Amino acid sequence: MREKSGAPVFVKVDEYKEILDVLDMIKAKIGEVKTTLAGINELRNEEDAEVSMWNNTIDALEKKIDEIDKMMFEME
Amino acid sequence: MKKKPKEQDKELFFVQVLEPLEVRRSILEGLKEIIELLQRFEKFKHIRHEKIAKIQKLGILMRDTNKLMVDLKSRLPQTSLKDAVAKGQKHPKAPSRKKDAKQQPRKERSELERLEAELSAIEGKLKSFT
Repeated sequence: MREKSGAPVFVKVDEYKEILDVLDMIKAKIGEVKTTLAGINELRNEEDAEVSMWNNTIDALEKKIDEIDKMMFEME
Repeated sequence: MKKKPKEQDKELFFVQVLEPLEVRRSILEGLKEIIELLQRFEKFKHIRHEKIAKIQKLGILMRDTNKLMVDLKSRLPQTSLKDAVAKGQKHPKAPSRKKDAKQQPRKERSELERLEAELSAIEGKLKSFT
């Protein structure tokens, strides 16, 4: 490790190994975070799809009610 | 009193439903759609619960990652501090950090406030690099 100022910085070998272990753990956590985020995204898409389907159903229902309304008040 | 039912009969009038089967069919179809909508609402609630659980899990994972980052930082040499001391320019910033530290025990801060303080400390350190 070398600083911008030029002074070299050293890390003890055992500490270096620990740092690598921590880095591996962080990488694993980042992987888990990415998986969880993908899951949330998927669920959000499912939610959006559901809301969209509700809109369609309500529109269809509204049309049906209008048809019934017309049939009920239709004159010969 | 006996005449009343007859009077009522006279007052009653009816409107013919021209297509009764069609009306019944439409009503039943409407009912079916409403029930399907309610079923989907239950599914939606399940999805929301699942999403909330995942968001909570995400929060835990982020906190764990933050702890690991702090751990990593503590294991690495405090080079920026040495650099600041060597240059003799960053001394005024040190007391401000101490001020932050003094403010902490005053009252329990919320998680958001704690993160804001952490963020400003990191930003301060980053500025010292430039």
